Amino acid sequence: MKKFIIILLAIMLGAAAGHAQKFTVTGFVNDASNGEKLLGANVYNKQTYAGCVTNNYGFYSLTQPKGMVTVVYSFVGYQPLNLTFNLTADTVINVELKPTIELEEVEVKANGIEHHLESSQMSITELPLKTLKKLPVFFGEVDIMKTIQLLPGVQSGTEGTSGIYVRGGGPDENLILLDGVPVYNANHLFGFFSVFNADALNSVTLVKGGFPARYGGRLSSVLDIRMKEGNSKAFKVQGTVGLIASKITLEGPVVKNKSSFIVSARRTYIDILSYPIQLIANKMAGNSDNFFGGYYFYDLNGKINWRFSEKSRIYLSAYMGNDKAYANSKYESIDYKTKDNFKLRWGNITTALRWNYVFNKKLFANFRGSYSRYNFLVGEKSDNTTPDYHEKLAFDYFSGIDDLAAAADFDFVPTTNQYIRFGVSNIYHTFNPGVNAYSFSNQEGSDYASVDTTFGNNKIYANEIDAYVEDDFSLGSYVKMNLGLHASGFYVKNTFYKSLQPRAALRVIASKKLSLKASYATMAQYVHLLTNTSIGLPTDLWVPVTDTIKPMKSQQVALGGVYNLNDMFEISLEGYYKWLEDVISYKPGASYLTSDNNWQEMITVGNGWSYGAELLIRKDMGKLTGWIGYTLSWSWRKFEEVSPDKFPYHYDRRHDLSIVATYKLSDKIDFGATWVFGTGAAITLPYDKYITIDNSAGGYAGVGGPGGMQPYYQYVDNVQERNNYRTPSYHRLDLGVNFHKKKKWGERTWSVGLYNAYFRQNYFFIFVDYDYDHYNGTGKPDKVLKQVSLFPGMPYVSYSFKF
Amino acid sequence: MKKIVLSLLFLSYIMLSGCVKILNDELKTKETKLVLNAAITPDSVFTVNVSHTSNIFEDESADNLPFIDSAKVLLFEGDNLLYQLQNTGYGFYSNPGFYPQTGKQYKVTVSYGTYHDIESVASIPPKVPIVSLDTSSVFTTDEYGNNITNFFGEITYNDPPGVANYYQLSCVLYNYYNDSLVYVDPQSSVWPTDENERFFDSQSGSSLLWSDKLTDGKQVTFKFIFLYAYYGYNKMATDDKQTYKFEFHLKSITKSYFTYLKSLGVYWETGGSDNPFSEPVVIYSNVDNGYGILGAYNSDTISVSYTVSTGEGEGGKP
Repeated sequence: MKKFIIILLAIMLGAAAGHAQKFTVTGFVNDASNGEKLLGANVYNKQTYAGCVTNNYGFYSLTQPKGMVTVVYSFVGYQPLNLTFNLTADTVINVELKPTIELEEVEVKANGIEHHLESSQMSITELPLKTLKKLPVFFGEVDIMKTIQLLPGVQSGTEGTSGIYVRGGGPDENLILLDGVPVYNANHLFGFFSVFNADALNSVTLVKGGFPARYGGRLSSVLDIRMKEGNSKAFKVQGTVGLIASKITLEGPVVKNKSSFIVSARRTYIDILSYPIQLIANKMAGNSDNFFGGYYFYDLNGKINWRFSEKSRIYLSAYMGNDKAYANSKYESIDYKTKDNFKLRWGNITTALRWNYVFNKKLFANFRGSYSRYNFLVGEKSDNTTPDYHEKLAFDYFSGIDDLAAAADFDFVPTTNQYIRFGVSNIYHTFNPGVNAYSFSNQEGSDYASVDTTFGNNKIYANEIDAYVEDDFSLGSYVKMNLGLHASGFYVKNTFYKSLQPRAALRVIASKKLSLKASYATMAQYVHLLTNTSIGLPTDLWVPVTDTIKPMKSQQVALGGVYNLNDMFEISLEGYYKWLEDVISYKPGASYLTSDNNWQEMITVGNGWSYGAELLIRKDMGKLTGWIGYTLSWSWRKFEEVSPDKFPYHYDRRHDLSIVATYKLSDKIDFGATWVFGTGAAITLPYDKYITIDNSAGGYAGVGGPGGMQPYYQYVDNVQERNNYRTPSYHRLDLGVNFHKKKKWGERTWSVGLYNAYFRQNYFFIFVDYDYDHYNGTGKPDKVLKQVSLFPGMPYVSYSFKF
Repeated sequence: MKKIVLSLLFLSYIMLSGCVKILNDELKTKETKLVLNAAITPDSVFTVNVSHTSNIFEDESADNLPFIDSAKVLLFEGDNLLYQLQNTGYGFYSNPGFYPQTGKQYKVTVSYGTYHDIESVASIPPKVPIVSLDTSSVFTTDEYGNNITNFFGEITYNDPPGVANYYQLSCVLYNYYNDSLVYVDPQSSVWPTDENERFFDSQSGSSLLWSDKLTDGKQVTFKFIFLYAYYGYNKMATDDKQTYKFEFHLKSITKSYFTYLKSLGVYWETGGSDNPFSEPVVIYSNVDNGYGILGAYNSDTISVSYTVSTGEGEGGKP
């Protein structure tokens, strides 16, 4: 490790040394139409091709030799801007880029491809949000998580759900950041929707490997989602009315050129639509019996910023989302009155206060204080009155996690060839792994004593500290490296775990069209998610490492290349190998639905490894955009307590193919289509069974056995291998079309489409059961394998507007 | 209104669109294997049961049971052949009059047709005597007028020091009516109390399982519940009486038998392999090349009887 640090410092210093008189151009790159910051925009000297990209706040710093320079500002989907000027002193230039009209594709350069060719970072994908809105969607709801599932290296979870499984990693190994704040449960409606409202988002970046040192805390991926800042030019409204949900977004300047805001809200209305049916049903049942049940989710995004000066800006962003399912019943007769209320509620809150400050032309800083909370509550109340007594009963179970965090991140740009990032952060976690509250009160006449008690797991407090430094630098014209070190520590219950995680990435320009890349990253993770492998239950529980459950660790190496084909197509090919250490799994027989107080007894620790190759062919410009992603991969697990042998991970998919396309026919009509194919999931099924004899109660006495009596026996299913069965392959075609029309008041869009257009019955779960349509020779129904599928052919329609 | 109706129809479609189909996969068994089942004890004739695995889809009716009655079953003490066990029907094999002894190692091998031979080894652990057993009962009446009696037992034993011990507590209930045996429940349940639930590794079926991991060499006392009884309203005729005899077995069992019973307990507790919300259970086996268990135990027994007083009837307090 020492050697690594010394080498790292030597290379960094070498890259920084020995430069003649130079000056620095700094500033921000914005969208001309709404003032939004453009993250990852290219800024480069047209003569020397020396350049940089804007950071997560749209800031850039470009140092160039004194004299006449032409600086090019470019970003995918925007018209590039060339500025020629005489550089004689340090200069601040804030620029605004105009969005392109896709029909003018010839004039647009492949800036996104250039960025990927240039960048030292690999295994990274920026999600094109504009394309995303043209794609067919599930229930009419644009969902970034479902689009991420279409990227190579990312497996989707169960049919219809939003979970992501990256390069053989588990569902808890993804760090999902919303404006830098972790989101612990990204699911609405049991995972069928994600919590992210696409209308409120500015950028979405997925990192699958070669993690830069600024990221830490999860093993398999980082999903960095940035909210919009709000239109600083004019007040704008956009909204969508869908079949099950509607949403609206308001944004605009608060004080022109100083402050802007954005507020976005979304709510489902399954509960409202079903209310009349329930009302009729209750009326038909008579007045004495009433039942109302329902479900809804909502979320709110808000952000406001204030610019104090060219150097100083503050942001306050917040997200709040909740799901609630409820069932209320009431029964009344002359003598009896009963009221029952059941509720299930879960949700996230994240808040971040950030302050950007440009200390000088070379040093940019971001300070952040944040709060993140996920909690889950299930509760039941009943109130019973009889002629003899009156009783009230209440039961609640709640669990969750709270994070209070502070962080300071710095971007230091000593030369154009070098970009240094460093920072520290501290997260104070409060884990609440399940508390039961029970109360019972007798008003009159009951035989039972009143009770009011709370029991379950105590809260666990933990402190997580992180520090990092990374240097992205060029060695000559062809070689670029990103070297870094991430250090982290976790203090919980008098135990302190620490980890030093070296990171390295290398890029070599092989030709104008081809760059080759390699990376190595180690990661450590101090929190675990107790979850199941089917649906995203809100009961999923975040728990910390303990003295017996150690931190999970991973190492990943990747090799690959990016090729620019005709300035239109970006072709990237990557191979990777990932080792996972001390990952957790449920023990045999552990049930997901029990709120077992001693969760440590339900899990077992083991190792995993995965490897594979990913191909991505992507086109971001022109009438036809989209990508083809293909993954060939293997993913294994080994848990001594589960099986003596290695077994395939549930999300081991040998082949995974996604074809995503949008076509803009005109300004009025565009089409979208996706087709996905994946090898079936690995699940556990019993192939055979055998008899167990009841050996209790003194051998076989009294229950048969010796002497010709039939023994007391039971069949048990024989499951000797975990994940021994492959479900049928998964494939699905989604189609959609959007009709746009300019109106006097703005623009409206009708979106119609069909999810799972050819009605493929994909696996949701499989079980052994009887076929009551076929009977065997003995008159008994045949035993067969049955598959439950969801959502065969799901049409959608939605209406969107903006003005 | 039309839109609402259409929306409702659409929602109904969504609700009903989940569907079930039969897969044509046969789940072909890779290899049919022999299964050995036995729990040997010095108190019983050495008996084993031999059967074979069946495909998961195979008929489970009584006329299609997989017991094997023509296998070659050899019993060894160490490496010395003692007997070829004789079939007594329904897959059982024994040697009349041969009772296994504590501490000796027994090996059973089974050969049958083209199946792979199987074998398993077990030694009966020493008996751990019950030092004392105290019982008590709590009598209540529920809101419907039913009489309920909770029976509690408190058992004490000395755990042998320096060796790993595994235990099972089970109960056999004999029910007499006017001194005539009416029925026997060989698996009358015993439960932990709320306070000591965590002491036990498992409640396998109707019994309790635990080890001496935390109590090696100590005198151990714990409380348990052995009957939670509802009694009806009808009073017995005068001069009739009903007696409940509880026979408690404190069994010192082998580690492999303990592991097997524990896994079997988890299997039944989680609903076998049909529960999509729990991980599947692999049932432990100590049979080489096959499945099942050659378990061994040594039991100390103590009995307690309750008699319902004459004239108090079934609803009376014992």
